[in-house]
Order: sequence, then C-alpha cells, then structure tokens
Amino acid sequence: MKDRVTRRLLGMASFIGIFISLYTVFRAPLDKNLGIVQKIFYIHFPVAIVPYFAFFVVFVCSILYLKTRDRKWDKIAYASAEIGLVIDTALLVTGTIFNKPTWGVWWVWEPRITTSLIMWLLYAGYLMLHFSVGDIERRPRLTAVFGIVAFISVPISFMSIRWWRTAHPLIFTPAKIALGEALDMQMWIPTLIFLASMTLFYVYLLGQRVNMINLQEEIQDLKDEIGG
Amino acid sequence: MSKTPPFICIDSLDKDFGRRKVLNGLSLDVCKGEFLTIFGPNGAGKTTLLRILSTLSGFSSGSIVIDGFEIKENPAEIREKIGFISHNLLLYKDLNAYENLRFYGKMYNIPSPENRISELLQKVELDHRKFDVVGSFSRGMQQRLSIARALLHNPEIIFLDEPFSGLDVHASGVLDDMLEDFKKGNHTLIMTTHNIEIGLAHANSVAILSGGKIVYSKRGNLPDSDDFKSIYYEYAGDKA
Amino acid sequence: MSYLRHIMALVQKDIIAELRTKEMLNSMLIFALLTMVMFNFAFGSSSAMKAVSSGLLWIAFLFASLLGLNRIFVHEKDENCLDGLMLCPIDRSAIYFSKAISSFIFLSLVEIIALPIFTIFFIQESFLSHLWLLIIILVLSNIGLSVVGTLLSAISINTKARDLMLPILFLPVIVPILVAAVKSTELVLSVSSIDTQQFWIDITVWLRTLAIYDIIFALVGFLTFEYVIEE
Repeated sequence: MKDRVTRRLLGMASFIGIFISLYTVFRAPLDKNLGIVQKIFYIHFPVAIVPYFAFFVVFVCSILYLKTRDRKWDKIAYASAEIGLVIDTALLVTGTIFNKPTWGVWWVWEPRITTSLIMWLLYAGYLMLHFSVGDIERRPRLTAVFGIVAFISVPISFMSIRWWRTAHPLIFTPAKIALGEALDMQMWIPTLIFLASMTLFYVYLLGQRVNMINLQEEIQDLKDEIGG
Repeated sequence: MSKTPPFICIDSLDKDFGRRKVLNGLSLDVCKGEFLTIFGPNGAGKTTLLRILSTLSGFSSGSIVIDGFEIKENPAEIREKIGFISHNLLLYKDLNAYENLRFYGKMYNIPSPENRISELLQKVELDHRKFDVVGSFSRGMQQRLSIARALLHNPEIIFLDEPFSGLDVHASGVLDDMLEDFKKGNHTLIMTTHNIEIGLAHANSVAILSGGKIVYSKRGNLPDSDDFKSIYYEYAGDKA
Repeated sequence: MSYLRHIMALVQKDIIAELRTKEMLNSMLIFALLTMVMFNFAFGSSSAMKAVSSGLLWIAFLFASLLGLNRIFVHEKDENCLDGLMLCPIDRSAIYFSKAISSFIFLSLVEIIALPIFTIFFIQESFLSHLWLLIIILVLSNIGLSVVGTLLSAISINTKARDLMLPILFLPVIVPILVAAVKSTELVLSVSSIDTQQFWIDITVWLRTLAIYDIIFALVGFLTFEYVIEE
C-alpha cells in the first residue's frame, strides 16, 4: 500500500518536473549560432546522462545479487537495464537529429556518441542473455556477471575511442558547442531542471517495472497452484 | 552400529529451485561403514540430494556436516573424501583411458598415480585397452572406466546415483563385486535407485525419499523385497 | 604450488585432446584465411587493401578467435565433464585460468601460421625488422581476447542459443582491444623507422590500453567465474 503511494507520488513529481522543464526550455534565450535547433540539447543532455546512471545501477545490483543471492537485486538490475536501453535509444535518436544542423551530417563517429552506441549493443546483449537462459536458477547469476563485465568495459571503450579519434581531429567538438561559452547561466538552469526531472522519471519507471515483475511472478504462482 | 556418532549429518535441508521446493526440511544421519539405499519416485529429489552432498549443487538452508566438516565452509576437504558414480561418464572421449585417469589423478593430487591406475584398470578389466581413445570404447567399457575414475583417490565415502541404469551385464557384474568390496572395507555408501531388488541387494539400511523429505528409514534387519514393496507403496504413494 | 600444477594438468589435457582431433585449430585457421580471401574480393584493388590491411588482419583473427572460444567448453559439457572437474578438490579459478591459457595457445598457434600468409597476400614487403613489436601487440591482444572470451563462453554455453550468444556478448566488450590492436598494428606497418619519438609516444598509448584491459578483465574473470559454473 505504502509502495503504491510512493510510486504514484514519484510519477506525479516526474511529470510535473518535465512540464516545468519544458516551460523553462522555451523561456530560455535562443542560441546565437544555432537558433531554435539548440533547444533539443536540453533534452539531449539529461537523456545522455541517465543511461549511464541506469547501467551503473545494473552494475551495483549485479554485485549485490552475487553477494547476497537476494532475487530483489536481480529484478532491479533487469528493470534498470531495460529502462536504460530505452533511454539510450532516445539518446541516439535525439543525437542524430541534433547532429544534422550542427555538424551537417546525421552521424559522426565521435567518442561520446559511439560509446552510447556500443553501450546500446552491450545492454541489448544483456537483455538477450536474460531471455536466452531458460534455467531460472542460473539466469540471475549469468546476467549479473555480464552486467559487471559490460559496465567495466564502457569507460575503457570510451577512452580507446577518444584516442582513436584524436588522429582525425574534429572541427567542432561537441563539448564546445554544447557546454562551453555557448551556454550561459540562463541555459544551465533549464538543463539542470530537466536532468533532475529525467532522473526522477527513471526512478519512477524503475519502481513500476520492478512492481510489474513481482506481479507477473505472483500470477505465475497462482496459475501453478490452480494447474497443480 | 547405532552407538557410533553419525558420519554424515544432514539437518533440515531445503533446496528451492526457482519457486519450487525440491527438498523440504530433509534430515538424515548416516554412520561410518553404513550402506544406505535411498528409494524414491522420479523427481523426488534423489539426484539433487546426492549433488548437494557431493558439493556440486548449493542449497537454500539447513546444514550438512560430513566427518566433522561443514559442507559450505570446507568443500575442498569433503571433495577429497568422496567419489561420485552416476550414469554420466565424466570422461573425455578424445583422451585414452590412461590419459583420463592420469589427468584426474593430478586433479586429486595422487602421489604415485601409475600404480593406482594399473591396479584400477585391472579391477575394471580394461588394462588391455589402456592406450585406446575412450570415444572408441563400447558404452559398457566407458562405464567401467567411469567407475575406475570415481575411485581413483580411494574415497572413503561413495555416492552412487542410479549407478546400474544402462549398465551392460559385464559392467554391472564389476560394480556388484566392487560394492561388496566397499562394504568389507568399511566405506560409507549412499546409493539412490528406484529399483527395489537392486537397492536391497547390498544395502544395510534403507530410506524412502518422497516430496523432498525422508518419509521412511530403517537400519539393519531389512525386510525382503516383497515386504519392502508394500512399505514403499504405502509411503511413496501411487507415484512409483 | 598445487594450484599451478592443476592449471598445467588442465591445459595439458586440453592440448592433448585438441591435437588428437585438430577440429578447432583447423577450422580457426581456414576461417582466418577465408576471411582474408573474402576481404580481397570485397575491397578489390591492392592499393585499397594496403590502407585497411591491419583492420583486415584483426577482423580475421577476431572471428577466428570467436570460432575457437565457442568450442572451448564444449568438451566439458559432453558427458558432464565439468561436473567431474567440480568434484575435484581444486580451486574453481584454476579451471578459468586453464581455459584462458588454452584459448590463448590455440589462438596464437593460428596466428603464427596466418600472419606470414597475410604478409605475402597484402603487405608484400617484409616487416621482419619490427616483428618483435608485432609479437608484443599479438600477445597482449590475445591475452585480452582469451580472458574475456573464456568468461563469456562459459556464460553462453548455458544459454538456449549457445553459439549464437557468444558473438553478441563478446564483440561489444572487446571493442577496446580491436581499436588498440588495429591502431598499433597500423603504426608498426606504416612507419619506416621506429626510432622517432612520436612513434613511441603513439604506440605506448595503445600497448598500455591493451595491458590495462588484460589486467582488469583477468581480475574480473578470476572473481566472477565461480558464479558462472556453480549450480
């Protein structure tokens, strides 16, 4: 009962947060060089941060599962991977839309974007592994180990791709365009508000997803009872 | 025999598989030198119990102490003492008989493996095929070699999981002789089977496992197989 | 001490079994050669081939390693041999390291044969003067591929899809190895003199990346392998 109230409150808070964010985004001044297109950055930035956070949760919960063998951690890890993957997809889409007007091409093999793509592939593999292990006794252990391996490989991939790119320096670095001198105080406030409400939204989805997994298992139990 | 302290002590053992309970508060004591046969219908948890006792599987709660060693804390000490014979061969088919045994000999840190290997190969009547690849053996020969493999480190405790299933006449003869030797040698044995005649042939105590629990057990003065059959149906129900 | 003896006995067992059938080695080698030939048809002219040759080399080795890694636990699953190993009083990580060492040896054997053929096909001129550098790159990359591949192979053997699962888990994780190996091989193949300071700065970055990767994932494998194979 208490869980349900908390989940509802979280849901409302994140929706209100996103509305406020949208309002502040359009109140913020127009970018001198990029014009209206720059607005997409406000959603691009939090959407870029939240997957890292979600996959970090997968990593931590995987370790906790192996240590405690409490199924709760396995459920949270799985739910977080799923949500992280959805948000990462949004990131790749907004990133591609943002690229065209700023760099003139749809896709650039730039370190951050490339890392997000590799992350997408890693966690798509994680979900495939989840569905591919039939043995429910084994599944949490195998996915937990891969959850750890995948997360550790992300920073090493990022570094190696960055060094790989330095051989062909870009004319615009995304850091300059997005965060550097181009972004003044009035642009930072909506960015941070958006980040906060996006994180809240993630936590809300996580709670809902874990709850859903629990309900699914309960239904299965009831079915087994009737069937057996 | 009843006065000696239990050698293997299992106390309220639970094993959950997903949300299904395979073993449900199983308790059982086995003395040194005892030959216990556990009967039970398919799916009663016999194999699971032996896999847990031989440290292959974990368990959810309860405690198991073998010869003073707690199974979860000292698995290595327990592994040195036990031999496991099942219908799985546990042999490498691309290696020859000698290489298989020498490899496992190294795994068990056996000091002078050569003598032990030839002794065992003679026992299972395979010394003439010592250097042939196991993949070229008949099933019965592979099973005899598999028995030799399990006994390599001269274990004092032997677990047998449906050991006679699928054995040819020759291999069951070899196994029968060995079981009699073990009894004389004061080994402790636990065998599972659903075949009542085979199970009673060597045992000096019996137990029935059903629904994840020991529902019947008797030590010494065993009933003959017809009497035991009616006891079995009474305790294990119509599932047999 | 007995830990090392166990690892050696396990590796020896894998090698004897493999040399008896040579199934894995032959298919890995032929696959690597096939990849090179296919690349030749896909990219056509030899001038274009030269520019991408180090990438080609590593794609060929990578897919050959995938083929081998897929098989590394197959013998243990036949006749439940893994149970046989788990019954032995040995440390679980000894099984992990022995499998990683076996895959390393098999991959290196394939590369030793494939590399000269690759040179004849695509490089034409000798690179023997910098061969020792190339060997360092190969060794470091092979260690990385083996330590990660062994762990992921042990995971994928337990899935319904089995050999379909390994590439999906393996390839995104070894991106850093591919990047570092291709870049450093390119450096070695393209420079005329390795005595310049710039060359050493560049190559150190990549060799260090490979070494760090190897250490981290050997540690991860050592710590987590037990959870993969236990029951």
